[in-house]
Amino acid sequence: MFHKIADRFGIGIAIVALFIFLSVSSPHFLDIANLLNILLQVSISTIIAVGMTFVILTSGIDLSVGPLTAFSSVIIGLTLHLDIGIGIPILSGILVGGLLGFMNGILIAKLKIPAFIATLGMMSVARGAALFITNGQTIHMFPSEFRFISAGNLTNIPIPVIYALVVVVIAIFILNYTKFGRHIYAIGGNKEAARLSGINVKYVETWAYIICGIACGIGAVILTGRLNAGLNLLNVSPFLQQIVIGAVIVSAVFFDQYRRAKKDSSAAKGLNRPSQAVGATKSY
Amino acid sequence: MDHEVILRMLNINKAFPGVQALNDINFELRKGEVHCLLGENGAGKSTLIKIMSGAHQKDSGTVLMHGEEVDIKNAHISRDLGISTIYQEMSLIPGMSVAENIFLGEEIVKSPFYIVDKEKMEKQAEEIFREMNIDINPRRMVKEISTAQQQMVEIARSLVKKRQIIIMDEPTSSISDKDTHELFRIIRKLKSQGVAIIYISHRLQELSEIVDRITVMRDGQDIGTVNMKDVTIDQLITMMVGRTLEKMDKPVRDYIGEVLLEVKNISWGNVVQNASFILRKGEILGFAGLVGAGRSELMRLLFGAEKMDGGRILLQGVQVEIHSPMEAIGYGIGYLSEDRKRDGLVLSMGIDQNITMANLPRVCNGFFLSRKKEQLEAKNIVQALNVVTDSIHKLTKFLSGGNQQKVIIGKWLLTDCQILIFDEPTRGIDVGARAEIYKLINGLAQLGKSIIMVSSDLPEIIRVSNRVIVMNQGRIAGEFENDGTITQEGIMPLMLGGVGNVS
Repeated sequence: MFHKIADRFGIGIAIVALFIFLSVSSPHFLDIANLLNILLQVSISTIIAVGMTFVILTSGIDLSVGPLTAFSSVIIGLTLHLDIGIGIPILSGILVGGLLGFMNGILIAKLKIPAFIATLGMMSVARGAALFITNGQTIHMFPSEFRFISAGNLTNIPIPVIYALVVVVIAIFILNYTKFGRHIYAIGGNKEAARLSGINVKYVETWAYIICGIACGIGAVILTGRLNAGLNLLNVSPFLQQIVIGAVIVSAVFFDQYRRAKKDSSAAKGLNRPSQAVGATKSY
Repeated sequence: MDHEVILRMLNINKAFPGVQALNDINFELRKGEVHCLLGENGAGKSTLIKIMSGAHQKDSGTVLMHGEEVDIKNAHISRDLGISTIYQEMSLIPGMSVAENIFLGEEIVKSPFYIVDKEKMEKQAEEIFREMNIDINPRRMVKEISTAQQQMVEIARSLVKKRQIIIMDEPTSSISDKDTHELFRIIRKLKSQGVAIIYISHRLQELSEIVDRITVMRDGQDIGTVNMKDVTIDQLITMMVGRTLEKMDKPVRDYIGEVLLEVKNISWGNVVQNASFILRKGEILGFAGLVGAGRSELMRLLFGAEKMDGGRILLQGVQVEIHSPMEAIGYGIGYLSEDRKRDGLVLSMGIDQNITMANLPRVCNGFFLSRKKEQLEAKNIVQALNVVTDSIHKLTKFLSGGNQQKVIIGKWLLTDCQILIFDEPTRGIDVGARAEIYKLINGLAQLGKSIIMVSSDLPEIIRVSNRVIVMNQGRIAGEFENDGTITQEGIMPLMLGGVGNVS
């Protein structure tokens, strides 16, 4: 019995338990300010995890999200110091993320290099390039408008949380309600069947990596704003891809368990009317 | 024949959620007999053999071996009892060698450290193949050999050790006539050694050649056990479906129109060599040949799934370049692949999503998918093609072969393709669903669509096609108008590479 419950609701239970434990062990945990702070901290990984979801759904993997974010971040920092306003730096950061994602996509979809290897290579390339451009030095002192737009507060609510929410909603929409989203699932389900159904597999796969790169770019904007005191590559968590991939997998397991629990209950209902189901198999 | 009973199953029941798969089944297997289980898909044959092989547990009933009650709790016990199963779905590991696969789970080891004795395994595998009179290198990886050869490896697996019972689930569905012949020879030999064989096949014609007794199943019940020599095929079909199948009309020919597609000198390595043919509007063009004759490959070239070395394709007299399936569909060519599970369906997606896959714009409002439109289209197709399911959202991996095929046909109906290529459309599909698929193909042709049907089942080709092209070793070996005079005996020599008269 316990086994079955754990199998169906395990992740949900674990999160609730953690929440209760932390609430009890620290009087500050349940403060609104603290909860908002937690949201702020997970917003970057959420955005990148959304990008990663597109890639993982095509049965690929992107190991380069950490360095991609770092590189975009460096580009944003450098362009901010050119005194050309904040619009172009933000856009160029996102664009650079997308561009590196595009390179991943070309390597994987067009040149058929396994995603694991291609993105592992990109990981070193992007990290190296970021180090090379900055000479390993810190970039700091960003304009206050930039800091506000990227990581400020809007009546106590951290703006990145809003960004993360918007990104999640858009992604849900694309994945569930567009042709492109359906193609992503189809490719992950059976690449050859998708190709023989006339789906442009290379195009869709490449775009999955571009989207992941763009998500890294958006993450980089927030990261840059938050780390105003001094942007240094060391500030980008070396474990970013692990955290992000972990987030995708944990949520996938969560929804899978949810779906199975739902299906169990409907199957139980189905048992009450077996005559109907048997009838259905007989109508040849 | 001696009548010693090896296996007796009494009042076996098995239920799955919502379905009574087996209902009080009785089954008896004698020593040294070939016993055929016959029934439509979903009749319960697979469930029954899975209970014998330990893959499923019975809910109630008794299983006796040599008169003693046994409890087959898992596959291991089944194997220890001397039961071996050749499943219809390949259960080989692609990344391992042929020899390693044959000895999987029963590896030959060297003492003292239980090191796997690769050489000995390969040598024994070679001996088994020699015995089977087929030529497969046991050192090659399974993924490198053809589907037909994989099937033979699957069969070889059950010959490693002496068994009492060998279960063969559609062993001939993907192998050539020559290999079928060899298989029958092996079966006869096993039989003479006292091995009992349970044989499942949808190819009724081949039963009389090899089978002693037949147990017919329908909807989870056993309809009866008969001696092969006492019944006709028509009687068996009546037992299976519970009614007499309507005879298929001879292909009607007056709706065949002008030339739609012209293929000129297509080549691809030595797999397809200088293939040329034409296809008319509303025509059903059959492609006969042995497995490996290059028929599927020719179709894949036509569909843009492979890149041709040379040759031209003309659609209504205009030359077209087809580089990808996407472009082929743009030109109105659809391809229903040979292997439904491998490249026909996305098994993890629902019926509705598979049906709309090749033409999503049809169910889109501008940029966005319309779930409503999608469900409507899927419902129409499911009804029109009589797909048996309780929901249009059901994942396609849970459907029977016949219903999966209908979903794929539905997918292509939704694309409005003018040319539909069916590659082995009835492989692994039972008689009832087969008749439905023939009817569908015929109906499509009457609507003016042009059909190419690749099939290794000669009676099927002769029954359905207006015209038959025979391929042999990558070349087109002959062509016949189906005016009612072509026979299997007429086509066979061309398939085998002999000289025949080309009409």
